[in-house]
Parts: sequence; C-alpha cells; structure tokens
Amino acid sequence: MYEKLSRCLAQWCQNRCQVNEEEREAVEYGIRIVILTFCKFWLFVFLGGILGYGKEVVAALIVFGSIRRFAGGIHMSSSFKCTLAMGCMLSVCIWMSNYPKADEKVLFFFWITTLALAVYFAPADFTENKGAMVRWKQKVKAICIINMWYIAALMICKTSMHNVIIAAAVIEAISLILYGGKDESERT
Amino acid sequence: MKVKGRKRAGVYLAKLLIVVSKKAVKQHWEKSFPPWIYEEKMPEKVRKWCENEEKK
Repeated sequence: MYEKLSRCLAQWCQNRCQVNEEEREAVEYGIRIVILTFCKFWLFVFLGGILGYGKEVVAALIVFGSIRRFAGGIHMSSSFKCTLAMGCMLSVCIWMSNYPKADEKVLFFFWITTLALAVYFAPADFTENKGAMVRWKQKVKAICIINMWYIAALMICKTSMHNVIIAAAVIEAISLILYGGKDESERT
Repeated sequence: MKVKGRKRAGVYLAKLLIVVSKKAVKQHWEKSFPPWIYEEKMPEKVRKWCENEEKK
C-alpha cells in the first residue's frame, strides 16, 4: 500500500515541479522511506499508548533519535529487524521506567560512561569519507546532546521519565560499542 | 484568485516533499544503509542518482 502511495505522491510532485525521470525515482524512494519511518514511529507510540506508556515511548524515541542523529550506531540489515530492535529498546526503557528513581551516583556513573563511549566511538557511522573536520563536529554535537539529556534527567522529578532518559542514552551508547572498532567489511 | 493560491500552495508543498525525500535518500545512501549492510536493495536508478549526487 505504501508503495502505491509513494508512487502517487511522486507523480503528483512531478506534475507540479520540474523533475526528471531519475529524480522522480529518487523522490518516490525517499517518500517511501519517510512514510515507513512515520508509520514506525506512530506504531510504537500507539502500542505504548495502549500499554499506558505513551509519554515514555515518545521520550525514549526523542532521546534515542537525537543522540543517534550525531553519534550513529549499529544498524540492522533490514527494515523488519530494525523495527524489532527498536521494539526491544523501547521495552527495556519501559521496564526501566518502573524501577525506583536512579539516584545521583547512578546517574553520574551512566553519564560518564555514555560520554566516554561517545568520545571514543562517535560518530559510529558511514561518514569516514567526509573528512576529519566533519567527523569532529559530529562528535562534539553528540557530546552536547548527551550532556543536554543528562542535565534534563537531573532536573526531571518524575521517576519514569528520569529513568527512560537514562535508559535510552545508555542503549544508544551500547549501540556505539556494537558498531565501533569494526572494519568496513565486518559491519553487518 | 483562490485557484491560483491553491496552485501555488501545491507547488510549494511538492517542492517541500521533494526536498525532504531527497534528503532521506541521501541519508539512506551515505549514512544509514549502504549497500554492503542492507539486505533490501536500493533500486538501480536511485543508486545511480545517489552516485551522481555524490560526485557533485
């Protein structure tokens, strides 16, 4: 269904703007990616909402996504496996949200650990060919975002949100270890 | 007047959609799912488009 929708939208764009055939294919593919991402996001929010953890799921997705945007991390080899992995990540976050509030010592331990992993591994992605300066900027941005989320966790009083932020940041840091240090050929 | 406005809005929306989708494809190509990792193959035409964009 989403393939048909993306084809229709790409055709609609072509009718309104000057787009050649090759570009139209790219636009169609891009629209398909956007639709899939959008559907995935709302699927998790919907399932979280049914279970009574809608806010926690949204918070976990925002924290995880914002750090991952700059820090990178391991990738699954298909969209289905990616959805499953996201489901597991969110389940852990929801599970952690039921625990008592992590005290400051625990928070600082995870803060330092996450930062250390980001300093060492980030950006753990496929931008090696983009040059050292771009990678350095990505690393600095990732560190800033991590600090921002941990400061937010320090200030938030609500136990579930506090734990969800820490859990999402730690899981993203673990995904950096799983990716980092591997050769290009080994990255599966 | 109303029809003109609607047409212009449609053009802007189409342009926005094109920009967003191209960005998504580029990210898919460069960062997230390069060919050696992703099982679900990118269509040949899209791959060529990405290669051309990279050369630019």
